[in-house]
Parts: sequence; C-alpha cells; structure tokens
Amino acid sequence: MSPPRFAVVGHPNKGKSSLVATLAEDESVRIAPESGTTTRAVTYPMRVRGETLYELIDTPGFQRARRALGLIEQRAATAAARREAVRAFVAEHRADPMFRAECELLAPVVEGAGIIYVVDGAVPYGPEYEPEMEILRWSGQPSLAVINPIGTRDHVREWRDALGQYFRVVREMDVLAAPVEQRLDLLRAFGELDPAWRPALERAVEALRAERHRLRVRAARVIAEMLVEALTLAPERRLRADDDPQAARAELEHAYADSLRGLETAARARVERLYHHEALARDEAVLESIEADLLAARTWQLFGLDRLTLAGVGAGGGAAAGLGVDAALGGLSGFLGAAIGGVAGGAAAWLAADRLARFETRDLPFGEQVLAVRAGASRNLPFVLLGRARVHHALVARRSHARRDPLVVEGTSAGLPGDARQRLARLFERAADAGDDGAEAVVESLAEAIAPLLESEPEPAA
Amino acid sequence: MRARPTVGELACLVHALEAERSARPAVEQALRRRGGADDLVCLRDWLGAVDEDSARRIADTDAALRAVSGGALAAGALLGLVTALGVFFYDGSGRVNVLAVLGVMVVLPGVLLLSSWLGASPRGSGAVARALAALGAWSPGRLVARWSRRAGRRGSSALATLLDPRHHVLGLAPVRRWAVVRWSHLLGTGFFLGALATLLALVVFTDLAFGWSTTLRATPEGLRDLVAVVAAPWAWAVPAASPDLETIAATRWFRAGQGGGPTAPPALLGQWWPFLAAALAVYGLLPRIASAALASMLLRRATGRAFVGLPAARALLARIGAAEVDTRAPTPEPAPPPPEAPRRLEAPVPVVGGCEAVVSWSAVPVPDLVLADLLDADRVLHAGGARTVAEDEAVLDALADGAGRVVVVTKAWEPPLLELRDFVDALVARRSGAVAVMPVAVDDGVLRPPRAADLAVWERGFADCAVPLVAPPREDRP
Ligand SMILES: Nc1nc2c(ncn2[C@@H]2O[C@H](COP(=O)(O)OP(=O)(O)OP(=O)(O)O)[C@@H](O)[C@H]2O)c(=O)[nH]1
Ligand SMILES: [Mg+2]
Repeated sequence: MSPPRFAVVGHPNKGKSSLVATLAEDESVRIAPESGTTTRAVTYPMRVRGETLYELIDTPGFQRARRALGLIEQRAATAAARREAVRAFVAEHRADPMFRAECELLAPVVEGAGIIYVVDGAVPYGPEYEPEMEILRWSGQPSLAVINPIGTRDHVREWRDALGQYFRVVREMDVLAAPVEQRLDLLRAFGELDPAWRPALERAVEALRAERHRLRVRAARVIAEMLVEALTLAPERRLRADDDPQAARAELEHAYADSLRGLETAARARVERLYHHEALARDEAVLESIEADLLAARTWQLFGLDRLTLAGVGAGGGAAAGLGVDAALGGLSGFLGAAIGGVAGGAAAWLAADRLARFETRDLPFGEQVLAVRAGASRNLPFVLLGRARVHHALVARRSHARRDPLVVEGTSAGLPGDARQRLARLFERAADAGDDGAEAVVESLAEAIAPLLESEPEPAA
Repeated sequence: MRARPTVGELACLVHALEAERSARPAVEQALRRRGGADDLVCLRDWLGAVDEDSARRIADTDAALRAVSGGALAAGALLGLVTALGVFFYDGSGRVNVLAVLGVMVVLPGVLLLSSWLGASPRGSGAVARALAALGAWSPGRLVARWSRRAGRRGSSALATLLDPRHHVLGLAPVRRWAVVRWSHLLGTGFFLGALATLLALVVFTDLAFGWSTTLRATPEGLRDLVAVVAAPWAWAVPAASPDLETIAATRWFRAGQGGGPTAPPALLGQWWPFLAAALAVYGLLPRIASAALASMLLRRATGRAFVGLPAARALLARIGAAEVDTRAPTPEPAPPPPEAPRRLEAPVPVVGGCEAVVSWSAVPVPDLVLADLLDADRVLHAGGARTVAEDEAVLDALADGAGRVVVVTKAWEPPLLELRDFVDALVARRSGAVAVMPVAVDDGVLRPPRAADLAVWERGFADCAVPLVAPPREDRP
C-alpha cells in the first residue's frame, strides 16, 4: 500500500506553506508575506530509514474557485457523479493556465490524498471561501480543517462554526508558535481521517518522538564539548618589558572573551544544524553581549542582583546559599543560583560578580613574562555557559521552521536540581584539571549529565 | 588491507572538520545512504567528498612532515658536528679531557633525554610541568606550525591547524605531544650521529691526545673503577674500548707544574678514543634511537585513536550514522521567478469627486448606503464572493459602456485573487470610464485605511496591472 498523502490546501496566504514547513521541519519551504508564493505542488515525504510513512504536499492557493466550481457543477448531474466530475475537471484543465493553481492543488486530492484545509483565524469568515470548500467536499476525500490564527484569535469561533459545515474535524493551531507536542498531535489527527492511515501516522509520531530524544542527546554532547573546550581554554600573551600590564590584561581578556564567544557561537550553530535550522539568522547584537555577560557583572545584574546582594548571598556560605537564591527568585535564577553556590564566601562572590577571568603571570627564561588566563579558574563560567546553552537549545528545539525572523536568545533556564548541580560542579572541576588528554571521558560524562537537563525545556522569556 | 591513518591524513581531517563546522548536509546524506562502513572508512569517504583534492593534500602534508623530520635530523647532525669539533679540539698543546667529553656528550644529553620523557608524560607534576610550560614559548610544534604557514606550501595550512598549540582542538593533544617528542628525539639522534662521525673523522685524519684532568682529588684506581662500570655494556665484546689501569695512570694530566708537555708515551694518549666512541654510541645514540622509535609508535597510536576519536569526528559520525528520520523535501523548492517590481508603492490616491458606481467585491461588510454615501456613488453593485460567475457577468453588463468612474471596493485583509483581476480586466475592457480598486479595512461597519502589511500584499498583487489602487476617503470628509 502506498503511504498516506496529505494535500495542504486553502486560500492564498493563509499559512499553508508555514504549516508544511513546521510539520516537515524544512526551512527551505518558500514562505513570504505575498499572496501566491507557492506556485507548484511540492511533496515532503516523511521517511524512517528510507521507508516513507506519509507525505505532505504544499500547494498553491485557490485563485478561480468559483469558475472551477461552475465547470465542475456542469459535469455532475447527481451527487454520485461529483467526485468523478472533479477528477475530469483536473484531467481536462491540467495544461490550462487559467486553472493552474486549482489543478496543482486538486491533482493530489483526486489521486487520493487527504485534505488539510488551512484558514486564518485572525480575519473574519467570508462567502468567498464557500466555492473552494464546496469543490473540496465534492472531491469526496477525507478532510480536516486547521485554523491558524495569524496574529489574533478574534474570529476563531466564527470560523469553527463555518468550517464545521464542511469538515468533520476542525483543529486550531498557531502554526508558528505551537509546541512540538501539539504538532505531533495534529499529525495523529491526520491519521484518524482514515483507519487505513492510522498505523503509519502512529509509527511516524513515535519515530519523530524518538528522533527528538536522539537530537537532545546529541545536543547535550555538543554543549558538553563546548563547556570542556571553554574550561580548558588558557589564552596567554607574552609580556615584554615595555608593555603596559594593564593594557595587556585588557587585551588578553578581550581575546579570551572572543574565544569564548567563538566557542559558544560554534556550539549554537551546531545545535541549530542538528534541528535542521541551517540558515538561521541570529540577532548579532544580542550575541555581542556575551563579553559583558560572561566576564563581568552584567549577568548578575540582569537578574536584578547587585554586588552587595551577591556578597550577602556568598557570605551565607557555599552551595546552600545558592539554593537559597534559587528559592528566593522562585527558580527564576537558574544557573545564576548554581553559579553562586559554587563560590564559597562573600568576598569570592563579590569578586566573581565582577570578573570571571583570573589572570596569572609566569616567568620565562631571559626575563620575559607570560600573562595567562587561568583555565577553569572561574566556577561560575561553565554554569553561565550551560544556562545560556539550555535557553538557546530550548528556543531552537521548539522553533518552527516556518519562521523567518532572526533568532533572539533571551530568557532564563529553569533552575538546576541540587544533585545535578553537584554532579556538574564535580565534572567541571575534572574538565578543568584533565587537560586535553582526559577531556574525552569528561565530555562523555558531562553529556550524560546535561541531556536530562535539556529534557525539561526551559521557558523562554515572555 | 587498510592502511592506518598517517599524521598528514589526520591533519587534513582536522582541517576539514574545522572548516566544515558548517556541515554539508548533502554530503552527509549521500554517505548515510551507503551505510555499513566502519568509522575509519566513513571518515575517509567524507574527507574525500568534501575535499576532492584530499589525496594530494594528504600526500603534501605527509611530505612536509617528513621534511620536518629530516630537518630535525640534519639540524641535530650539524649541532653534533659543531659540538664535537669544540669538545675534541686539539691543537697539539694540552690534552682532550676525557672527563669533559663525558660530561658534555653523555651526562648532559642524558639529563635532557630524561627531562624530555618526563615532560612528555601526560600528567607532569606541578613544578616540572610549570617549568616545561615556561619553555613552551619555544615549543617546536609552534615553530613547525609557523614554519609551515610561512612555507605557504600546499597542505601546510592543515599542518598549521594540527600543530599550532594556540589553535585549540579538542582531542589533539596526544598527537601534538608525540609529534614534538619524536622530533626532539630525531634531533638527538642526529646530534650523536654527527658527533660520532666527527670523532671518527678526527681520529682518522688527525692525531688526538686524550688525557684526564680534574681539580678533585682522584686516584687512577678510582677512575679505573668508574670506567669499568661505564664500559661494562661493551667491555666483554670490545676489550680495546675499556682502558686499563696502565693507560689511565699514564694519561692523568695536570695543567699546572708539568710544563704542558706530554710525558706519557704518545701511543697511550690515543688509547681513549674507542672508549669515548662506544660511550657516545651506547649512552647517547642508542637511547635516542630507541626514544625516537618509541615516540613514533606512540604517535602512530595516538594518530589512529584521534582520527576516529576526535569529538568533531564523532559528531560527524553521529550525524552520518544516525537512524534516519527525515521529513524534508528531497530537493528543496525551486527558487522563485524574479519578482515583478511592485509598480505602485506610492500611497494610494484618495478618491476625489463622485463616481458612477461602486462594486462591493465579495461582500465587504459595510452597508450599501454607507458605501454610496461615502464615495458619492449613484449605485452599489455586488460581485465576487459567493456569487456565481454568471452573476458577475450581469454586473459587467450593467456597467458596460459607461464613462464615469467605477470603484471596486475589496477587503484588504484577503489577498488579491486572480478572479478579481479577471473582473477588473473585463471592466476596463468594456468601459471608457476610469476604474480603480480600493482595498479597505472595516471596523464595525466603518471603512478604514488598510493596514500597511495588507496594503503591501495588494501592491505586489497588482504590480503588473494598469488599474490604480486607491485609498478610502476619510470618514470625516463631507
Ligand atoms: N504571525 C504569524 N504569521 C504567520 C503564521 N502563519 C503564516 N504566517 C505568515 O503569513 C504569510 C504567508 O504564509 P505562507 O505560509 O507563505 O502562506 P501560504 O498559504 O503558503 O501562501 P501562498 O503560498 O502564497 O498561497 C507569511 O508571511 C507567514 O510568515 C502564523 O501562525 N503567525
Ligand atoms: Mg505557500
């Protein structure tokens, strides 16, 4: 039996391609504010190890539905002849430029595809939708309507009433914002349209779920590698006799921040690629802030904590204080609390708030000196990086492939459970000491520890 | 038989992995299809696929690495030659001091050998590690990396990626270390070969007078015991290379008080050279050769491990080998035709004066009276929407041959469809009067100017149409 196929059809510019891009996780789908962006039917097969479980078909919107309906009506004397009339219409007008859109979208339907009819719940229902819904009904194929509120939900109720007349199943889904579970739910609903389609869609949903899990594990590995690289990073700079030590320090710190930024950017790109976001535009302005975020007090101040608060927290003593902060902020602080927890004593916290980089000077033969950033000297750094990576991962993992706006990484991660925090702190220490040789083993253990933390997706900021 | 990966191959892999941080899904997909291959084969295939010149590049990189090894050997030999010429310098006066030779040529290199192995141990203890790290500024790896970058040869950028310690690549440290250790032992090997050759040449072509001399209180018997211990490895085989007490006693020499002239029979003065040559060979050359061989072996092992074990390589393998779930189109949607330049991006012209008729297209939710009043129109007709094409025809007939203005009012929030274009085109064809299209927003039965986003959709939709788009008149105008 050939796999079930679903033709996504409707009025132009109502998010048909957006729905397909979201479900097929394909960012190459052409989506634009203009009407008539899609000009040909394009098939998106869902394959598991080469076996196609179902196919989605993106189609152009109806352009001359009334005229087409008129022609079809002429052919169908009785209700029994309607289905055949639609088929005959497509066969006859295949090459007719007048009905190109109609034929492109109806061809898969008359060949047996299920109908997914997409409307915009933000604008009112109107009579111009009736001819196209009528044609679809005449095709006799199982069908489901999706209300996609582009913007507001003002007219969703009205649409439900109207669509209920033509479609047995009416669903609402904000295509660009729907969480992954809701998308899988919609796919399952596709399977309910025909008992013969059900097993394939159930299998597909299971496979997609399993794939999500695998992706999380792989993303955890990418993040673990980034963290270990960051912890073993030890940039240095030769200090000549005539160098201004202050300037040299600033320069080195700059270089260090650059390297960290480079590591973070590369890791982000890899995570994005895992999730098939290959051409994702990033908001560079936000990326720029990493220097401030990682190396200075900004990170802390973002959460409304000033140095004095921090010092107070630190004085409370070690990890317990960190937990306290988490509790006080209602879990909002996430990595912040964890980071504080790792630092013992108020002075340390106060200093750590200011600078995450620690410097040391080493003597070279012949009276030269080397100024170096001590790798892994900051206990906060990996927690801050991990927190940022979790936020980024959550945003990327749930991001619809129909979105064309740049990715803005904002928000906080959910707090780390106490035992995870302890385990991570130990692993970070191991990573910093291991040098490059033991790194592989640490990466392995770290990835294991991080994967479940990606499981509970942190909430992006409102 | 599968060849083990060479260092050059590893260098090219690392280089390609770094460059391919933005992966090529197409290549990976093609490899995935093949399936069944082991990691090494898979990575080699990938390398071949992303860099069609990889075989040449690998060969070039390996050649560059061999050149570095050869250079190390040659530099060592030169160093050995110069050192030996200095140590065995003899101008007929005085003696070549055997003890000094042993110190410079055996004890000092021995200490260096020891420290090189200590430094190479993965976890050097604090002080040693720190001292060695201070030497890191002159890391041979860094020198070679710089040299290879300067040399600007093919494959040299791969070499630089591999060797430059400032270039951070997770998982490469063992390879870098053993490569550098191996070169340093090759340098040592060259040193002793050069020194030995120089000694033999001097012995053959000149006459050397050896003696031993020390400020310390030493007896010939004491030195004899020491020499016997030193010569133990070869004494049984080459008795001539183990000086006896007679030679030792006869060649002791004091610079002061002896007038500088040789007292011992000249034949005895030359007797030391076999001992020195054997000491150089056994305590200098052999350990260096053994060390170089061991380092080569460790390098090969580290290379093989790193090739399939680099985190970046593992990630690539994971991508290629993942149980395939693919939802995307096998070939991406074709690029759009070049867009029609939106012809009327200028603000729509407001309606001035009255018009002959208004057509409400697909039931704009505004009462007819309001429309007629607002646009100062004689009549309001209805087309589009749920009406049939025949009903549209009736409207066209009713408006045929008119000379006044006709405004087609449409819902701006719905996109322009071709059936509206059909209608407008027919209207223009059948009448002499002006025709305009007015996309409007409606708020509770009141006409409003369309939202900018909606208007943009209409302006694009009507880019290739001669009919102007006009804005609705302002409510407050009489
Ligand atoms: N805010 C928001 N915008 C959406 C949503 N769905 C679609 N859009 C936008 O609506 C516009 C049209 O979306 P498409 O997916 O191209 O619509 P289409 O039905 O395929 O359009 P044609 O191919 O032209 O028929 C694009 O600019 C989308 O970004 C949504 O859920 N929310
Ligand atoms: Mg489309």
